Amino acid sequence: MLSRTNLYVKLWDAHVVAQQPGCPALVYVDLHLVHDGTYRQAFELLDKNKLCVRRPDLTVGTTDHCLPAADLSRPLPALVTGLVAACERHGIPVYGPDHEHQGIVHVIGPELGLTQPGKTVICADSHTTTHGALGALPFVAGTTQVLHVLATQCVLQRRARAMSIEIHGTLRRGVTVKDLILAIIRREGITAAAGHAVEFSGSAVRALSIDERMTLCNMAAELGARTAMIAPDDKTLDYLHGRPFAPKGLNWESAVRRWRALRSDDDAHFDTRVSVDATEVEPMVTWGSTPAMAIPVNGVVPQPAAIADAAQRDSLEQALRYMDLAPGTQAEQLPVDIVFIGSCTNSRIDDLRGAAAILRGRKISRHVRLLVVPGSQAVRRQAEAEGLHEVFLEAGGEWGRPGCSLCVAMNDEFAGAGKYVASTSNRNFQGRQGPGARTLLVSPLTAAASALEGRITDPRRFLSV
Amino acid sequence: MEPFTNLRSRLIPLLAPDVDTDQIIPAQYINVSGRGALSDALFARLREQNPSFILNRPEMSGRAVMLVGSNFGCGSSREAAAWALAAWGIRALIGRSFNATFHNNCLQNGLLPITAPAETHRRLCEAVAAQPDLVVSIDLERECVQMPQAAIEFATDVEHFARDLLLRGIDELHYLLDCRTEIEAYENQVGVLK
Repeated sequence: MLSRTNLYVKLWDAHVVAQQPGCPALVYVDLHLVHDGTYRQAFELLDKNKLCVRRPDLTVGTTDHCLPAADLSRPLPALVTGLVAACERHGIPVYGPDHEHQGIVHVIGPELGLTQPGKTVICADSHTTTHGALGALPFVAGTTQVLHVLATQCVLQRRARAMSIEIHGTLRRGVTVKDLILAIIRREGITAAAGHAVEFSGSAVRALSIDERMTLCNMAAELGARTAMIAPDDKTLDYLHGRPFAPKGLNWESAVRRWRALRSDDDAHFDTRVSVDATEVEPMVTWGSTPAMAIPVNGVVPQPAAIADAAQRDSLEQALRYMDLAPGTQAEQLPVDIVFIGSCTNSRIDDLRGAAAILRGRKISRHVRLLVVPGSQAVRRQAEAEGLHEVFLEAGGEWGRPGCSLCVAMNDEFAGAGKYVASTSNRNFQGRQGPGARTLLVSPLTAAASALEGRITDPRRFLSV
Repeated sequence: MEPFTNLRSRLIPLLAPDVDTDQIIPAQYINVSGRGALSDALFARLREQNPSFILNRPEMSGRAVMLVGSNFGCGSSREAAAWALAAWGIRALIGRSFNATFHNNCLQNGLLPITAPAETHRRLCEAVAAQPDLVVSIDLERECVQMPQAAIEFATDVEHFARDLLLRGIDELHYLLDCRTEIEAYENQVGVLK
């Protein structure tokens, strides 16, 4: 009989250690990434229970969430030094603030070749979905599950339903994968993929670079997806070849043979299917306090009065009050005080090159603060080798230390109350970037164009013909 | 973990859809230590900014069940959202739907998330709006939620594995540690290498 198995189920089945009837499956973890934001209580419980780390060789630590990014005169927070100490005590490789491999956990995993097709990857961070861009199977954990994985290298999981998001067409010039995923979230809603493992496929996905695929899988979290993935192809192999932890020599050859088989069967079963045309997508910006409250850059802030459903209308009105915006405001009239280019969504070299192309030889608006934070030390080195940091500095921006920075504002650096932040990060929840801060999610191109004009701006105005 | 016994409580209604974990506990507080600090951090921004926010009402203190809307606990996977709710004294949530990671984080901390069917949820909301002091009882052993004064009764949807652990007060870690033999067998069979 012809197999009709999807990629998620194949990877799932390959990692189930045991499953008793009526119980969740015991799933093996090939790569466990820990970071300074969510480790402390897990290590404390490990010590309290007198347990050791079962597979320190399959565990890697990095410092990202709490690192000061802009003000480097501040001392390192106790959570940062504490993570390094905890990892060293347990024999876990760890990348402290000055380590050459340090960076945002979802940037360094793929970049170092730790994340590989077919591997299960777990991390106590909702954007772990990013790693699926290489054909890995990511799991999002809580801190208690970090303890479970440290102690047993396994986690208890219930199998998700499978969802196919097939994307065809071609992104137009000046339109990025960030706009594409915001458009999908706007159309489908923030719970569209709840309970699902998403597989992105289609000609538009094949056309994306690996950096772009990571942005796509990263933001699947904002569709409510439990996990996300893209089948590996030649681009995946080219990306991984020669990376520090990628297999070498004969191991590479045998890995490639295994990886090439990792795809959904033709006519594989999916519980839910969505189809998207990338050609229709415009540059997008969010105006409200969920990632689905997004509009095209040539659109207007919606009228709550036009919404029939009372709960939805209340949400919109509440968001408008928080954002202090009037319905009908044109997207290009949305004010911008701070521009943040960074985060696990958009801090890779492709993202920085795109922003620099718009900022090169130009000055940002006098009342705007521009903060550019590369995703890792490797991204920082590459950007500096290309002179991109000089483009940002000469335009009037700041060049920060790699880390999560203003995406999650866990490093005591906040956007002030009432400030509008055009941000390339993933969440525009109320207070996310600081008490009272107002986030407008955009692509790196739109962020750069908006920094120049001091309001949300269509990046196509700055692209040469 | 303390076993989950029967629970009787008045409800704290917080019915907005899509309450994200950044609201439940802002990122700056997710590593605070101790029950008092976690309890203070629960919905800290909303409590500061809005004097009429539900948790600022004195009659809400001591209540152990929160009546919530749909997609509660979405966003960041921070387990501190469950810790803060538990620290404040919440033992169960009744809602239309929960984010999957948040749902799991609740169960790891003896906090029971219960999904009510749409019609039942609507009736619960109406009953509490009309009579804020109505009492709900949750019997996890019998898998039953009741509000007799509003003639509401429905089944808990907690899967049996989680229910058994909650009733016995056992956490998942001990279940996992008991699976050592299977884990070793898997590692030997697959030859897990870095």
